[in-house]
Amino acid sequence: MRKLSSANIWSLISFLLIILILLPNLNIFIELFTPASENWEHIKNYLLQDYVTNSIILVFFTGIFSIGLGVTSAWLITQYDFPLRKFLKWALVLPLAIPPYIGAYTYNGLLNYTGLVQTTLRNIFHFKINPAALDIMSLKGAVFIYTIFLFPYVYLITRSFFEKQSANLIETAKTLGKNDLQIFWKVALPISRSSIVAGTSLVIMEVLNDYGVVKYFGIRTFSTSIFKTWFGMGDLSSAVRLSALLMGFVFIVLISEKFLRGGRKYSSSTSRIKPLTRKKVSNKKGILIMMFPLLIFMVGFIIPTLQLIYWTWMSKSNLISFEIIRTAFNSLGVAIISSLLILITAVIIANTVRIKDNLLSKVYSKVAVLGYSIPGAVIAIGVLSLVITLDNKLEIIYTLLNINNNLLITSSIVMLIFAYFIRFLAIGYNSIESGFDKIGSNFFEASRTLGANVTKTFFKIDLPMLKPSLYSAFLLVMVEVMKELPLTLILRPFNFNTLATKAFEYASDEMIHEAALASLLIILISGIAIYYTTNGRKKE
Amino acid sequence: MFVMMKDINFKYNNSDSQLLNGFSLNIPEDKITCILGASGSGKSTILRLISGLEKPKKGFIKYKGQVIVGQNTFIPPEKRGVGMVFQDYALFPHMNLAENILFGVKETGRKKKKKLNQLLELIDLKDLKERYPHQISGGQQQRVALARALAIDPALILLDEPFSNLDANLKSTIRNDLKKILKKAGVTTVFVSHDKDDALDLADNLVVLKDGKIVTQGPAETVKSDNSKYVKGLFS
Repeated sequence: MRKLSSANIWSLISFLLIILILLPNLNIFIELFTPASENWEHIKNYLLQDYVTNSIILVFFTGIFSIGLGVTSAWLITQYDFPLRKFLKWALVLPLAIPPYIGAYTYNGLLNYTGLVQTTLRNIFHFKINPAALDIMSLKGAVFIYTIFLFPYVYLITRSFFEKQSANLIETAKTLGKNDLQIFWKVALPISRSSIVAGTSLVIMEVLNDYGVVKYFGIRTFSTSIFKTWFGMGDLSSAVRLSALLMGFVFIVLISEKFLRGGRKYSSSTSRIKPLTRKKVSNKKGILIMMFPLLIFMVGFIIPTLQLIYWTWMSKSNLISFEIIRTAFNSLGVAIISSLLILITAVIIANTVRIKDNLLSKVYSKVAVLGYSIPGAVIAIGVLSLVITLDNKLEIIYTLLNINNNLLITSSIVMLIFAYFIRFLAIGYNSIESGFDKIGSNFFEASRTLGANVTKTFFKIDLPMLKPSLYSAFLLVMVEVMKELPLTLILRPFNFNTLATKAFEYASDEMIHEAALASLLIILISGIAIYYTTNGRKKE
Repeated sequence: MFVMMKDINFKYNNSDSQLLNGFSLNIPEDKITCILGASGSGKSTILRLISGLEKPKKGFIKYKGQVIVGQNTFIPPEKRGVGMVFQDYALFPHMNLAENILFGVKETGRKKKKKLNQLLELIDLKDLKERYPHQISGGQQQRVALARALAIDPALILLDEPFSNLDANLKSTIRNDLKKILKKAGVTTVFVSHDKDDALDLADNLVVLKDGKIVTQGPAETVKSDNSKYVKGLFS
């Protein structure tokens, strides 16, 4: 047998990893051909229409409003000089630190009959408001929550487009005698189309992935229905069918994204980035402009965070319990393990893709980022049905080894970590890939001509140079894992809690005060990561 | 012939057109050969093919009488023992000069140390061995890259546009330094350039390339007096 060359070993390992990622997805596809259960008829005839309509309403309106908030604030921040501009520039990203499900129960707590808003109106101003007017637990409320906590995706991508690529066009328009409003509608908006579409499709993916908000608000969507069929009815085959339909939905979103972007990614103008000169405005006008992003920042970050701090304070007597420490450790533990696995895999696949510039490697990089467009509940069902099948196949071995548990893997933490791995590999992979891009291929090639094979080159040259990307990839993945809810709820072992599940469970049980601390911890960790990735990176 | 390329077909994955089509080239031993051509003529690709960084679709390459690229043969770059100096030098930024130079060295202990000293002496940078690449000038970086390539005792050195990154006013000094070092090292050299002055100053043997085809080749003086329109335009 011929000895495998170093480069081929990398290809082989990558191939195996790719298969591992594809398996649960293929499994959904295969399960689709098993006969449907009787529940399915019922779901199809009576419930499906609801799921589809609700999902479309949520996606459509959240998309529209996110574009409104995101593009307008990006425009103001990049075009005008006004008080607090520098601070607001990155503060507007902070709403991303609050997972929508936490935002949902916080706002509900604020606005319901016993909440701060209504009690203040009642007790201090003696003003009785119709409670229904402030009822947030509806489709409208969900759109509000998604928009205010997810719009930063649109803001971030559009802002960086305005900053880096629009200066010439906008300045030309100015010299042609157009006023600000005309420039915004006729130049800025059309040229930033592909950035807006990219940001919006991220928002939509998050909406389709979400389970916490819709569950808490009692809205029927695909993800709540997948939960219900599995937990409520134990009906895997219907859950698989719903998952496949949801994937169809995601697929339509992805296709439209490609179509709306006009087949092009961001125009990569690597040469000379000309910064935009911001317009000086009068103090009065400046303060007026400031109000808009400031208000968004208040609603999207300050108000919910203050409310959570207040609740935590209220429950300070049982603040530091054994339970919360254990939960925090659980969260941290699974996050670290999953992040490490993801990092190792991302590095192996990205390195293989870089070395072998062919069709197969293009497929590899597509598969590696596949998971992020698949909603958590779908991945959960895919992994679950795969692992149950595996456990069934291994039953003989379990009996031989005298293991009493027929569902050894299904009931273990392995399943959850595997699912995190699939869902968040994309985040790690993208960071690592851009790290490799930054390094370029010259050092790799120089090392090869100096007698080092692919593996030695990797450890001696690539890895040390890749360090900054590795750190930020690790951080990003870790935060995502800690925030994750739907996957964790479906796949966690019995009695296993993370900060996210604990916060959600408390909130669902109307124990808002107890939910606050876990939520604050999640926000704090995410906030630090956001600060590091938006500000810290510049210093590298 | 020291290096023999025959009937090479090559195209880059991201390009539709064939860059080299039935390309053949012979490189003589112990000489400095310059491949002269405009950008996009395929000259750097020839170096990449010889060093093993690219694989041709068809054709074979012989080096020191051994087939290194053939129908079923492809010797990977790390096993060819061909030294290469990259256009931007590609000095490893996380290693100091000594570590850079010693990267490919197989010897250990005292022999290794001796080799380092010899090479540092050759490039006249003995005092700077603890420095990092970003702490030295472009000309010095080039010499380090050359020393690093020579450290693996190659029978052939390839230089990709060795002067393109240097200030014009330093160029002739650096060209002379390089010539001295190469002659002292006594190693067969191929370099590519788009500048006729580099070619006339350094090369014993000249190959003029246009659109992936050899226009003319031979001793520098002979090539210079070639009557074809393209060559005349090049040297006017």
